[in-house]
Amino acid sequence: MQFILDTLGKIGFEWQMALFNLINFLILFWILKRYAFGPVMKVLKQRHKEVSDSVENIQKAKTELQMSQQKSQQLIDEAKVEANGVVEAAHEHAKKLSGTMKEKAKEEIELLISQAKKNIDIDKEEMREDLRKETAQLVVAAVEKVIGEKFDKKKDEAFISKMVSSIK
Amino acid sequence: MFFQVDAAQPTVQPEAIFSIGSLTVTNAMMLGACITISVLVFFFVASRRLKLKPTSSQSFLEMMVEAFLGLIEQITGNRKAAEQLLPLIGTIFLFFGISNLITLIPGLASITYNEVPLFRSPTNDFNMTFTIALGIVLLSQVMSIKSFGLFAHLGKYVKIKEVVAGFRQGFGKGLISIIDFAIGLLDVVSELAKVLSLSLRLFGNMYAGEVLAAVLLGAFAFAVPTVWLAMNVLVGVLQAMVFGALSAAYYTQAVKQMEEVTGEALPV
Repeated sequence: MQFILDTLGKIGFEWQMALFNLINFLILFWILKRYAFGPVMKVLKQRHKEVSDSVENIQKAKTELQMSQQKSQQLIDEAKVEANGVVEAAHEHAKKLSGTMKEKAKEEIELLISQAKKNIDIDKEEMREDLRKETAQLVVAAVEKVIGEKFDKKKDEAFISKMVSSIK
Repeated sequence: MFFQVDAAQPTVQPEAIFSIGSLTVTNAMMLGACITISVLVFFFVASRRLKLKPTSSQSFLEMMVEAFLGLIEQITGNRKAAEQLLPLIGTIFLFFGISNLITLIPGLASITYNEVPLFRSPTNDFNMTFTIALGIVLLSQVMSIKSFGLFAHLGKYVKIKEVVAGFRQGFGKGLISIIDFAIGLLDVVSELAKVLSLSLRLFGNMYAGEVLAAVLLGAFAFAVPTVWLAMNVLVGVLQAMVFGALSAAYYTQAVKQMEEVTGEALPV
């Protein structure tokens, strides 16, 4: 042991100085652990945690966005399908309605035409009757002038009916 | 010649400045204490201003810590263990790095007291390098005892169990176990050699650097010492890293088997 201490002493070893150096180093170690490496590691870990949390949140938000996009796309698709159905139904309904309306209009037109025809026939008949009467009166008047005799009411009516029947 | 300067050769032992009782205060101790006080003030102030959004000085501090951590992680191969070892190895990196570089500041060596330089690099004092190296090796031994138990730890060096077991299996295996026994005893020498190699490497490099600088300054006062000092910056950083890395390696080596057995991280 003495040999070792002597040998070490030749290159400057002295236990008091060594002890001072050890204490100096331990103080430095304590300072750095407490005021440098400890707090810096704490900040680094905190930042690392915040960054990883942020990345995680971004990832979560991305997933949520993707999901909501998918959901909205699904809703849009469903709405499109529904709208197409509504439009198709409306088309169908409109088609049906227009068909019914056409039918109704046709019927009405036909009714109007038949009524008009009837009216025309009645008017024609009336006109024809009037014409006959007027023609008979003209004939009577002409006959009266030719024979120079005035027909009485009784004769007149008998003649007119005779004339009318002959005209028919 | 006009460009030659008389430069005093540095002594192996640090020079005494004054004494407090039986304690002789040397110039290396003075600078060591000054470095400790400066580091204390700097980090005490810096650690109070640490924010999540770092300033440029905080970024520098964080980069330094991350660099230390990366280096230790490469040695231990484990992030958690590196974080646990960071205060010890980081202190070695920082203290020895500053100690190696601080004497390169021009004019610092010219400050004298009673014609003795007031400051000498703490790493240029064998007391410092030897104490820390011894401390590191002892610490790794203590941690090994703590993890394996005293007898199991001693069994790594005195392999009597293996010799008995070897002879039980046969004469040939018994002879081989005697070789193992001798290797175990040699491991004790290797542990002691670790202390000497670790301490003398750093001390030798730093002391030789100063001797060579004095020689170069004597021979060529200009240009060459400048180049030499520039190279000393590299050597100073490198030697601090080597000391710290080897300390981490010795520590990891001593407790690694424990980690394999128990699955726990390195204790600090």
